[in-house]
Amino acid sequence: MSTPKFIAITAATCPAASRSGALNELANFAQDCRQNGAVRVTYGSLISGRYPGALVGFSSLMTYKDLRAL
Amino acid sequence: MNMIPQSSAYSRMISDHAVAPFARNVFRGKPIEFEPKLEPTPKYLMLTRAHRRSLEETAMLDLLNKTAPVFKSAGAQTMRMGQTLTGSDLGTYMLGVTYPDMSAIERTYDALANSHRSRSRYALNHEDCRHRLSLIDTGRAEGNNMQGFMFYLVLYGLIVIILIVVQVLAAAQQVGLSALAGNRENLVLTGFAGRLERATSNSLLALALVSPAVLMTHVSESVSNFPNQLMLIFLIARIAYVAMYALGVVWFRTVAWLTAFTCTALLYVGLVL
Repeated sequence: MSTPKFIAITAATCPAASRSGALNELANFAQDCRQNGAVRVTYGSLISGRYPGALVGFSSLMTYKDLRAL
Repeated sequence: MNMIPQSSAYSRMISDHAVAPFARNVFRGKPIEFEPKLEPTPKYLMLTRAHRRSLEETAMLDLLNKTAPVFKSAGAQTMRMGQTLTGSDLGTYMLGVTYPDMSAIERTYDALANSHRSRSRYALNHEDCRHRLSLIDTGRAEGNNMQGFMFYLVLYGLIVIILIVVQVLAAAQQVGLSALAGNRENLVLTGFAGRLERATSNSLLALALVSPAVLMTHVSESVSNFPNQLMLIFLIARIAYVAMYALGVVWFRTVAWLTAFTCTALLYVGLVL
């Protein structure tokens, strides 16, 4: 099985008060991504840098067509 | 971008939790020789953005590949490099390295500071941004513990062990323990015990054939849901095969065998493609 060719990174701001709920929804969204072609989904929150607290998601995709499907 | 507008989870993030996306970039993966270690689940991801200055990309990747063992020996679990295909920072490189804990990150950067090769790398690449992420989920399609297809393989191994025990008991009932414990010359099992013996032999062969494919799929970092589905079908088909063999059901038994065999073949095909 070959390595994913593309990685889509999405960053989003989120108020601290709703971060926990947003992360729970992010788990559901990650599942949606997997069901629509992402071979791997990684997500988390930034704990350093310019946007601490921001949510970031990574979707690994085999083809550009998979990216369009997302 | 067809799925995102239809995802109810995405809509709820926006409407209920005030999530506001502000950046989305697509990267093309670059080859880095790094054997991933996915257990334990990585907890932290270090993202480093960099621009190439004077080096050609191949030379830069070569330097990075030479630096990869420094990351590995210090405890890094995965290492990926990509180049932006979209957005305002077109052509920017992003290095993502995952770690099991903070101490592994510290060890890595201490080791990098003392590494001649990495000093060369940092001299040649301008790093303008570094982010540390706390990972919630490394998102393998089947969860963070044992991968689904590995679980099915273990389950199948267990079924084969139970089958061997049942087959021995059936054989003992037919010819007696002393015959089984003897040299077994001219020992021919018939009926239920004979069918179980042949089913057991075939099951062992199937286990030997499917195991390398499953283990190689496990070692491979890129895992989709497809191997899980294949192994689930394989497991169901093999159970059906043994049951039908034991009960003397013909033709349908062959269909079950063929189904499991096809699943095994597809696992190998998935590894090659």
